[in-house]
Amino acid sequence: MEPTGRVNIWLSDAYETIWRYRLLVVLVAIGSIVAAIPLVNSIPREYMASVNILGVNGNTRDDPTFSSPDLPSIATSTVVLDRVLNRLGLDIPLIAMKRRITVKPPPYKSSIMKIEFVDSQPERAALIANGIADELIRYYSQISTSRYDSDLGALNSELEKQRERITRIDFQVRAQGYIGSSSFDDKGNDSAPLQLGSFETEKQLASSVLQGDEAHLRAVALDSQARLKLFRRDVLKNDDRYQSLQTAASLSAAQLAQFRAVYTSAFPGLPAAEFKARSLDEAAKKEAQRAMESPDAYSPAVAEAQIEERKAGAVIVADRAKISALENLIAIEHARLDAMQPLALLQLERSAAKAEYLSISAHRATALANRADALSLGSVSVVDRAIATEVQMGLSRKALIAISVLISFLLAFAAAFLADSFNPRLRRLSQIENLYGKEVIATLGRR
Amino acid sequence: MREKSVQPPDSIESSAGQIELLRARVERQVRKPAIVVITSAKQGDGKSLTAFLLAKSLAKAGRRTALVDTPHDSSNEDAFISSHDFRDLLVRVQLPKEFHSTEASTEYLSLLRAAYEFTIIDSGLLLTDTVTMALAENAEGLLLAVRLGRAPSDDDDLTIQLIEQFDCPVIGLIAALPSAIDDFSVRRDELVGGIPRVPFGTLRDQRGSGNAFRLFETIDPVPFRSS
Repeated sequence: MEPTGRVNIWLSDAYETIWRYRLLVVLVAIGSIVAAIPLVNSIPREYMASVNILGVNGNTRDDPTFSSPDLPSIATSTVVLDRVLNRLGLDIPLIAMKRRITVKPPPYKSSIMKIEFVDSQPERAALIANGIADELIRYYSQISTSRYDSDLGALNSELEKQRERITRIDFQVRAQGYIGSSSFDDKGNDSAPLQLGSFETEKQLASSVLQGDEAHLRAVALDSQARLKLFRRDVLKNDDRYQSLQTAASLSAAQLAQFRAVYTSAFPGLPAAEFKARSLDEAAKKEAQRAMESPDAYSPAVAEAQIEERKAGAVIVADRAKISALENLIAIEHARLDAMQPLALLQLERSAAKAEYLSISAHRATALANRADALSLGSVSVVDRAIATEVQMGLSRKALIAISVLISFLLAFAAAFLADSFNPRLRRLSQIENLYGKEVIATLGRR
Repeated sequence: MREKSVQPPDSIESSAGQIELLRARVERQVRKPAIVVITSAKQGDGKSLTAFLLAKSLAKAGRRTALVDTPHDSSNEDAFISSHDFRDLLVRVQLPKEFHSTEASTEYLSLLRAAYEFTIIDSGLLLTDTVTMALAENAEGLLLAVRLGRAPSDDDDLTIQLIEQFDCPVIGLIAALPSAIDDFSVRRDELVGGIPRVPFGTLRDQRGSGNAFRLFETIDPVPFRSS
């Protein structure tokens, strides 16, 4: 069969299918249209308002710090939008607001930026669009000088402090009746605080040295038990009689121990051995006591330790004397300072405060100049404010209904073909051809 | 004996273009003299309608055509052979009962080929009728009629299997609309009955005498359509 004939048959089949399910088509179409109408009505109407902003910048796009392409980001920033909401008293979530804003950056070689806002009410759309533009201008001015504003704030605060300080000093001078007097004693009194500080430092050093020497003394000094042990060791070591008695007593004790290990208690030699050992031990103890109590008893180690201890004690005495001397000097300096005239001190303090005030003033002047320079670099201003428009965005209601009707009919036709696909009857030539695997060469009768 | 011409209903006549396409396809695809068997998988699929319209179209185109209704398909009284002579006329011939025998039918097909360029056989169901099966095997072409709108069944599958098994020379499928089939059924006697009837025995006798067409010269021609 020719291709044209195939197309005709296909169209004829489609028409026949739709006609066969015409009731279903009508029902689905009507149902879809009925369902679509409230849906179309429920779609919120949206209106757009746009405002044009002129952004003039010192170096425009080449400015690395702040340039026109930055303006869209600033316009949609949370800070700006939050301020707009607060200023207009609106209750719109920030996220929803951000979605409704479109900011078109300036085209090439242009400085006009467009801010568009979409809302369900045309008046509110214009109000918010203008509000965003106004807040953008304010925020732009704020952030372009913010670097200098913080510096200026700190400098102003410091200037105020110095001013108060000078006022206070002047008040004190006036209270003492010296105001206007130029009599200012400059006899080296200003060196008193310096010497006092030096003495204080030296005294602290001397105290530290004293603490170290005291620790050394504690380290070299022996306690009585250790000293006695050392003395006994050296005295008995040099006493020959004691050494011989001690050796004999040790041998006798060893022999007694051997007897006890080898023999029973019935061994006849055991009492004699016990007596001997005991006698020798007692003799050795008596000799040791005698040697210790002898006026010639001498221990070199103990004597050396006593010398070290005396040396450390002498150093500590010297340290304490130095500290005492320094304390005297400090007391003298304090007395000197106390004896100074109060006017001289006040004059000194006022001079220092005035010098500091002048320095801060110079810094402030520089900061002010920088801020003015930043302001002169660029500006943002509204050139075309938004007005409320009744032109609805997107498709009109009529167009939406027309599209809904069209979609409804397409759905209805689709439903007919779907229903037909579930019908096993041989409705179309293609079904017959698929069933038999042969070509339909003629159709008899009128469709 | 001249009989009055009968106008087919509009539901059938409206598909004249399709009938012409069908005739052209048959003439192009089969070698004359040809036996063309019209069969189907189920009853009421439009076999008789197809056979009638094809035979009529061939006759109008000047082809010596016989329209054969097999005796199995209907009662003996209705069985007939319709044919036309060289002047675009149709006649009917009574079919003998021995046509049920496949051997005999083969012999009769030879007779029909000798007498006609096209013999259109309105046969029974391929699935249930052995004579139809024998005809399909020996025919030059087979047309399968299918009624549009009916549900497919196992008979369709079995018929397809038979056609493939016996390698029947299928020309193609004929899709028949129910309205055309119904209209034809109602007016079948009126449409076909007006054609003069000729006993099949006469054809056999004439073949024996060596003049196959003598029979038709003795019969009064009846115009099928006055238009």
